[in-house]
Amino acid sequence: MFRLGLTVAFCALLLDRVSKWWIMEVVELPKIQMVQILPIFNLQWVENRGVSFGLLSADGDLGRWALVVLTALIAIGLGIWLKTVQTRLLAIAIGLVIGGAIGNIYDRTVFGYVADFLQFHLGDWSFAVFNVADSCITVGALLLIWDTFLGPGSKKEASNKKQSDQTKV
Amino acid sequence: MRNKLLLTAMMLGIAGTLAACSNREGPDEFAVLKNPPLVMPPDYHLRPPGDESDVRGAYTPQEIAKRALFGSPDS
Repeated sequence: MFRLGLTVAFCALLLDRVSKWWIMEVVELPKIQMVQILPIFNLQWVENRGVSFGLLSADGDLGRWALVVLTALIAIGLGIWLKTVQTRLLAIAIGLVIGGAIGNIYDRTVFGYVADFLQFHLGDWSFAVFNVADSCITVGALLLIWDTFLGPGSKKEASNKKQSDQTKV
Repeated sequence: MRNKLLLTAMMLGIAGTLAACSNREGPDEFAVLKNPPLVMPPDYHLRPPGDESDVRGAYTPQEIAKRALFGSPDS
């Protein structure tokens, strides 16, 4: 399971790197800033120096490295968790989160900002601009939450609880 | 159940920290007009004319925009 998780993480990281490289070097989005693809979908160049939704924007080197260290610690923690994981779903979920995290850490370390470029919008209202790593992290986290409530572990726990309730009665 | 909610909250927090999506902000309505910095003049004598002709007098956004579009008035 550990290897499965690592493979998923590596694939997520690779996808993220390739997409960012393509956007920066082939499309050259930093120069042209925005391309409209569909009426509801743009490629929009944003350099994010904070965390999600542009929160905690860390101007300056101290904030940047603090974020790098913090996110790296979380990624290592997730890696340790991954080692103990038994189910396939959990391994994939954690792998996705780790891969995405490393993708964003790479950006922060090398460029000093995270490249965001996918923008969905309806008219003037726009959903946050994100990248492939963000998608991986989000999907991974949703899978983790799914597993918490509906995974095999949760059922066992629920049935245990039922049994203990019955024995109490 | 409480554990699960706690775990979920933690998961969301971690995901929020790791992800780096941006809100595309429009024009910054709190932006303040930038004035040239206040500095002591290097010397108090008259300076030769012709220096800094492209920024001289351009203190308002209108003036800066005009010069960006049409060039400075004396060139």
